Amino acid sequence: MTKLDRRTLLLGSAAGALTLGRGLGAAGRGDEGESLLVVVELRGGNDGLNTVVPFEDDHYYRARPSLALAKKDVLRLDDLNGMHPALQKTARRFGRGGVAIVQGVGHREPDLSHFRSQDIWGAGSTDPAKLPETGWLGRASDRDPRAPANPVARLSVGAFGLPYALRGERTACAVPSLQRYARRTAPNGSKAGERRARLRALEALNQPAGEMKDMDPSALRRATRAAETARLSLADLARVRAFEPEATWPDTQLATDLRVVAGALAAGLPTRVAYVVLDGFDTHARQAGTHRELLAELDGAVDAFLNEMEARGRLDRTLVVTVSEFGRRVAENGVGKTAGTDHGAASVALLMGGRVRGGVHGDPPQLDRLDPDGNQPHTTHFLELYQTVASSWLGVKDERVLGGGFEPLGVLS
Amino acid sequence: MTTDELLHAFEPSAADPWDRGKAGHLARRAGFGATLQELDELVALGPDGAVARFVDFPDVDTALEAEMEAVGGELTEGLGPKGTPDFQQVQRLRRAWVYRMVRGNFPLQEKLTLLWHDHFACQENVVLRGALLQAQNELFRRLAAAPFGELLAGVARDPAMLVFLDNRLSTRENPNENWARELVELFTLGLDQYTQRDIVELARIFTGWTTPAKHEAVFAFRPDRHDASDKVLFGAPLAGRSGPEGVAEGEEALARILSHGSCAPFLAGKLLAWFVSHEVEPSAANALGDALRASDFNVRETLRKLFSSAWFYTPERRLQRVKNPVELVVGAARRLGLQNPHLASIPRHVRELGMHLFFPPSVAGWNHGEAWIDSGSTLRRHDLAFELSELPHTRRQVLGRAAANFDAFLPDANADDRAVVDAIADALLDFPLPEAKRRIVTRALGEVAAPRSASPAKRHRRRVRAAVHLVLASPEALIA
Repeated sequence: MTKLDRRTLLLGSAAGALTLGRGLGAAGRGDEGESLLVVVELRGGNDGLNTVVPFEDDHYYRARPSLALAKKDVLRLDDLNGMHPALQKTARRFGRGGVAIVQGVGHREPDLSHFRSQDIWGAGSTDPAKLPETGWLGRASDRDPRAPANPVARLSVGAFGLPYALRGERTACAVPSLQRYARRTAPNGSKAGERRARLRALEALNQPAGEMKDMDPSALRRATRAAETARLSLADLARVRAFEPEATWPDTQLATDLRVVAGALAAGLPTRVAYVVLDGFDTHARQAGTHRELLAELDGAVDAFLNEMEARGRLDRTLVVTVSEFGRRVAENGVGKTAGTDHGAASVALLMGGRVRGGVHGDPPQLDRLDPDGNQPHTTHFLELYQTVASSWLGVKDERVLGGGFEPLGVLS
Repeated sequence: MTTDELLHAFEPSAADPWDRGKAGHLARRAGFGATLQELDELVALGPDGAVARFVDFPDVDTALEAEMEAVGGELTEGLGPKGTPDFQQVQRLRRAWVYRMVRGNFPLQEKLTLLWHDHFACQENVVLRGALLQAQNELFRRLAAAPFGELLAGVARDPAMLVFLDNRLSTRENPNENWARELVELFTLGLDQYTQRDIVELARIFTGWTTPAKHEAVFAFRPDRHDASDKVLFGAPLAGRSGPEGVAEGEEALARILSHGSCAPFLAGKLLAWFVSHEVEPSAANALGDALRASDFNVRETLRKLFSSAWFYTPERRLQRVKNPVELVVGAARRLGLQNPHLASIPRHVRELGMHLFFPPSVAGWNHGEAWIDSGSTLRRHDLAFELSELPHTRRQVLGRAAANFDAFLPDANADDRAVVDAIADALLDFPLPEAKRRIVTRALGEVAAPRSASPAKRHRRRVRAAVHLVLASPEALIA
């Protein structure tokens, strides 16, 4: 990881700014005043009830004899709600007013399929029969006259590729965790002329298809275009990798991915919306340990990211939002250590940053009024959460983004 | 489209002959592509013989097994000596599997094994035990072209699956819906073909399907955990059974799923996406589904008809898939004639290109098509191209190291640069390298300089290696 290719940089400059596609670095410098949205997807369906615990609710304890978190163990937020003990740093931030919790986020007619629910959340549309091809963040960017054309403005980091949410008319940028690139382009001992020649050829061979006249089939054209527009130039990659953090970062996958986002900003890239995924929340069995570990990873990584932003004077221009395709079934499905929960409906969302209105928002779950499947009905529509982000944070009020009819929540100041 | 229209057999004619183009398409779809020599053999066999060459694979590739035996080492030691940590066991599994894919004589078997791994996707970090993943991999290989009902019955009892989707823990008191849901949503019927009630009932039907212990690669039915009460599945009653007979409920449910109207077109769609085009034409899925149903879900015979059809060879279905990382890496390695691929970094490349075997991103498997193209994969593809081009050279059979014969493509050391580029591009790529790009690579070869002391043969090999590097780094290498 630290083995930054000094050579890459040198080779890049030796080759006369090897761009391999568009040179993304030069444009968009000097706009440190712009705000950043980071969406953290808790993939698999996060158990809202064990994230923000209604510790005065007997229904909760009756439904979950094995998995319920005791009142004495939760990190108390107010008279009714406590955080999972793994969310220590987040709870402390809550105490400083830096975390807004929205309860009961979901939608009507919840779909218990991961993949369809992920699509509904990614598309930002409640009609599963007619999901648009674009995602809600992609559309928000498409309708934002100030959004940079540079694909890195819409950045997804991690092993999962470009998320539905970022699909739009404008190209987005998907980078993996930037762990390992050898980037050797000529055998050891080669002369500089050969290195240059091979690099020049690599660049030319990977030109966008429009410039290759005798390239016919549409798949290859698409493939080349996707490859060429949606990636960072080598020089930018090297700068992102060279990031030297101000904050202390944990050694977890989510932290590694968020470091790339921090690194992009530090490198002066015009990233406005970033998307990362923490996977593994599908806790059908042995939930207690798994959920604790996942929340601890979330807690440590997001806290480090926000500390980094604070150290760089960007906290007021940073908003982190968690989303998850659904919550879990209220009743647990097993006994003791093996207990888990099946797919549910509404869950909680966390908003964190320098400009959130700290506190617990939205109606608390009513565990005595579940839907026929035993799930928690939503009290806040997820499109209200999206509307909050789109209009109050990104400043995009165009109805074509979310279809209109949803008002922002008062959770940002 | 009717089944007859879809599967109407291709008949070669003077105007539309059985040629290298069609044979290459078959080899890319039913295998991992062909060398020029294999291509000529397939052309000589004619369409029926060529299709049979792929489809009629034996249960065991005896020549491959003998070769692996001769290579020995970790290929014959299975998961390794007692006490080998699980992650190392799974690494060994990956290397052995890659060896089969690169060196096997019947690539369709491995391509189907990979399809079933993608379809019934289980993750190493949940299953943990190497022995369970090994048993599952062998199940997929053994039943690769079996009637789908047999494969499904095997998967329902498969210990890795029972662990991965938690059915192992599902009991009468606490039925677990994880396996029940994915069984119908992802494995057989698709969304909207069932209700939440069906999921609840299926979870109850499969209570008691378990393994004796988490590390044991054995199926067990536990009557004491089974919910023996009556159920309703897809709106029709399914009689509850107690004692050892309780296992018959699950078998009946699987049979009912197979005869559900959506199962055949769903599976047909999967086969078409894997073997023809990422974008499946619904009418083709329905037509192929009818053929599957009519043959009792006989995968081998359905594929034979598909690969023999005129429809399959139409230009719209050729050269428009994006190779997945296994197809890309294994395809290149086979064409380079790579020896001892388990000792090259093949599994690492496959992983870094985003297709870590035994660790799919979710139970839904990998996303295919353009999803394989992002910032990282492009650069990593360049790394792959370079590393393959710098593999040790040999003309002999060797043991103990990965090597390829770089002289096989163009033995004539006096050939000019352009001839080198043409030979490499034609041997390694499926998508013809455009003229402009041939000139780009030719220009670069002009700068390739071996040390003055090098023999003419060595100088020539340097050019061949550079051409392999640049040709494989071209985006055309991604298209099949």
